[in-house]
Amino acid sequence: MNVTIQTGAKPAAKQATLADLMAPPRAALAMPKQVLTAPPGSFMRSVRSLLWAVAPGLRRLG
Amino acid sequence: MAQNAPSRDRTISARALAIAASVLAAAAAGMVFQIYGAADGVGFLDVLRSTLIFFSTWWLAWGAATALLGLTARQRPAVARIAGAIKGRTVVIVPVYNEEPRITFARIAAMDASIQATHIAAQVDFAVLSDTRDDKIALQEQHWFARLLARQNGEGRMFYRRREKNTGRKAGNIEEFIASSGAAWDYAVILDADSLMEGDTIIEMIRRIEAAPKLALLQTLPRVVGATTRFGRAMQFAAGFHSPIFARGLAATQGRTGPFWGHNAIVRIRAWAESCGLPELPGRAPFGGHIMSHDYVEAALLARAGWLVRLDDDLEGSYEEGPENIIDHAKRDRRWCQGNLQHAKLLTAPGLKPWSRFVFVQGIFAYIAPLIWLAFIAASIAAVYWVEIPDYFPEANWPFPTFPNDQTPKAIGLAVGVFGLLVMPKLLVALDAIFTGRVRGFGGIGGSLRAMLVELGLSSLIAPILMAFQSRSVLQVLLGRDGGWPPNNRGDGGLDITEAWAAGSWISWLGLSGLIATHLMAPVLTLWLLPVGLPMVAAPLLIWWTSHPAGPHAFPVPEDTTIPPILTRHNAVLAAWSIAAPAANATPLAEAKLG
Repeated sequence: MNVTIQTGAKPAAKQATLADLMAPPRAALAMPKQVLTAPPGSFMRSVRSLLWAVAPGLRRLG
Repeated sequence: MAQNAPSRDRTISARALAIAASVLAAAAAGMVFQIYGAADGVGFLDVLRSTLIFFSTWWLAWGAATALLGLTARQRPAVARIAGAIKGRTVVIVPVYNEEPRITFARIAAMDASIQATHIAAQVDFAVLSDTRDDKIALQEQHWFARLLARQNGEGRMFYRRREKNTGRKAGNIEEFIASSGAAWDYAVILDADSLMEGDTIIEMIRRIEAAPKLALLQTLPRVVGATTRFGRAMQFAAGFHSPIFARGLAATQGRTGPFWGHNAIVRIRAWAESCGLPELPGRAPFGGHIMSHDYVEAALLARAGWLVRLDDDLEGSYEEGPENIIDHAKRDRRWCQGNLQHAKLLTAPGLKPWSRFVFVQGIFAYIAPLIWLAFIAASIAAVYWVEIPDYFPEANWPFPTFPNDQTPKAIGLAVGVFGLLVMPKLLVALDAIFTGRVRGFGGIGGSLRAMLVELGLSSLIAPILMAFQSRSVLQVLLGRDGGWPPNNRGDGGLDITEAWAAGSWISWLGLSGLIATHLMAPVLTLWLLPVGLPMVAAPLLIWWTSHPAGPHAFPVPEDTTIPPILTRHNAVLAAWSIAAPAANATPLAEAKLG
């Protein structure tokens, strides 16, 4: 008895694109998100820190 | 002895001098105006105008003080550098976003060849980070990358990847690369798509950052090249002639905190990864969302973490291109405006160095300054309109008139002072260029002075137009309109009159309306406002005229006569790649053999 085994169409191998071949090496590095939002009340602290940045120079000029 | 960090004492002195000089100049201008305005009694508009004059003058004086600091900055001691073998691995990052791939990849080929020509044994790889949204351009990118690989034998040291989503724009593009591949290298040279750097310069940057373990970022001063139009050439001349001095002054005040301009710089990848992960800001664009002007923020974050951020203005061989017409300039400026105003949300970010906060303030001021001038003009028109007619006979039964105290000399003195703050720094830079011999590259003494005067005239003509564009940008941002991220135009820049009219006719109507209103409400001011109003009326013509090619000898720069080797290499690659143009439907891998 001849039995024909019908197989599904062989999936075409995905053609490697240049992007796949030339992708940068995987070498992960942790890059934590920085905190940039200020807690309440920090505005005056920022103003004070700005003044402190200038103060030494102004004292020297004086 | 070699020094890696600017001296703290010198930085503090420079900051104090710049602040004191600019605040004194502003206070003097405000007081003179107050005396002038108060001659007929102090009114609300007088106080308002004095305040506006104070802030406008402070901004002008700040620029002048920066130039003076740049002119008087002493030669910095030589910085440390590794003289022997380079150990660190470096990747040159080229983010692209809908750019013309052939030109961009030819730049990479030229830089790679230039590095190899140094015969220095150093691992310097390249990574093209595509955020291109247009699939056709992306296909072309793959094609030209294949050509690049074949030409430079770059397999294994040249990489290309395209993101599916351009989250976080350029900053997000770089961040994704560092997070997924950054550990493969020690340093990254960050470029723009239009950047070009000599191989010698890249190697020297690596030597310097390797010798300074606390140095996280080393910025070069890129020179603008490749301009052809009247506008582009004038900007290129001004940048080449004046920027080195202003940049030195800026570096003197920023000390260890910057500046960083987002490209043509080398960074220490570990420091970058630890410190520069940018969060999304709360709220919607334009103030919330992704940080647009990320470079200032990244410099501030590196400084916050204790790293050193330094400008080495002695490094030659670093180039970029500039906008070729006023419209492209205004488009780029719209993006920068939104980014800088967004920094208002970061002024109170925890832990930042105070000077980093002040740099944000400066960036914001750069864009609101035109609005302050506009407000001053409007207040002046209103003040004349509502002025009370002087009472020449205040005393009854006294036959002789009493004339008001004439304050005209003070007004003229103030105008001369403000004009001086604008022009004096440029004249001093010219004198410095003459004495140091720098003028040779800019057409000699006569040629450079002629070019400077023409540039001064041209920039005075287009200043009201740029002021109008800037004011519109600020108002759009304040009204909550997001400008998006339009790709840069890098063509020849030529505009036809219909394009110029479409972009600038609103400025004409604004200028014309302003002049008519002034003539009706305060005729004595009409003459004073003509230098602002007439260029606005002629905006489309000026936009059109300045977008056309300049004469061959207009606005000379050193690169006209001594073409940098990297430009020659770039032109050679472009010429080779023009001869064998690709088939539009060719597959990239098949073409990799073409070279």
